[in-house]
Amino acid sequence: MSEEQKNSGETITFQSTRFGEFTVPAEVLIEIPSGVIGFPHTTRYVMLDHKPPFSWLHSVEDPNLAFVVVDGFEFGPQFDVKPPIGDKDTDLKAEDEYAILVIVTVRPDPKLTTANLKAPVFVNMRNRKGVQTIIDDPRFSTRFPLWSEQAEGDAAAQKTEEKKPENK
Amino acid sequence: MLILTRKIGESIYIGDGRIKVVVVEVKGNQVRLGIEAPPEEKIYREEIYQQILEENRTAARGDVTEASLDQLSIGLKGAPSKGVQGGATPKAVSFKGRSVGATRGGEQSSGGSDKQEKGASSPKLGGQK
Repeated sequence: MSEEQKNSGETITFQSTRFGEFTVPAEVLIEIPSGVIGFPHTTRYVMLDHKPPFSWLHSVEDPNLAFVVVDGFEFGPQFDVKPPIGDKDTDLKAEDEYAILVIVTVRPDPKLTTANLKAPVFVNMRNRKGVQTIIDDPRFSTRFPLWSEQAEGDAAAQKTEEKKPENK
Repeated sequence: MLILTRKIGESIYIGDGRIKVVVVEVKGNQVRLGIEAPPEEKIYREEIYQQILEENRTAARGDVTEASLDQLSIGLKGAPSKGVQGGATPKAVSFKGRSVGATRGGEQSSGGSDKQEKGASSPKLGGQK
């Protein structure tokens, strides 16, 4: 089921229970041949923009399946995960460009929101194929808290000092 | 389930010899295994795999509302977590990759016009011990 989706001009229309109907060019599709772990039968996704730093990795097959993701490079040089060179799902080679998508678990209380640094999704930019890998490194947890104390401190400071809309 | 008895230093082959599992050491109730496999084979400790699976399922739960995510975006920026601006309909984006071995962090992603003002806003690994 993985024919080349290179024909430009071709579009794909899909439904989202969250956002309604989308039509996107076929070349923006991301194929995750093994699926996200736990969702092996859903292999085709697109990225949908949200407010930075968040995006959605949204299934085009299941209207209800979407993951909130953050660009792994946002985590800076300490998040020094190695790309899965030689992986067969993505055919990732040393010279390929790749993206790292870190899946975010948003909880009802946003302060408890975490990022899964232990299992990022690598996407080979050459063929737009992705794979979720598990990083065998105790520094990276499945529940890295995104809401840092510092951000909260800033928020408090800002609140007392007048509400200036800092972001744009 | 196939059950085999092996001594220390003995191995089993899986899949026409592509994967070799050797018993390296037995100490009390712990067994150390050595695994030789092609790089494309994924090898996971079961409990970690299960943990990832659970986390993915939680992350995929349908109850993430746009509002809660907006609130989080704002919270991460250190701005007051009120005044959630709703209704920003997501658009499909093509995101940029980086070269293997490229230096990270320092470079600003050149493409995204909406990606300025990172600084304090970006999640940082900093405080983690």
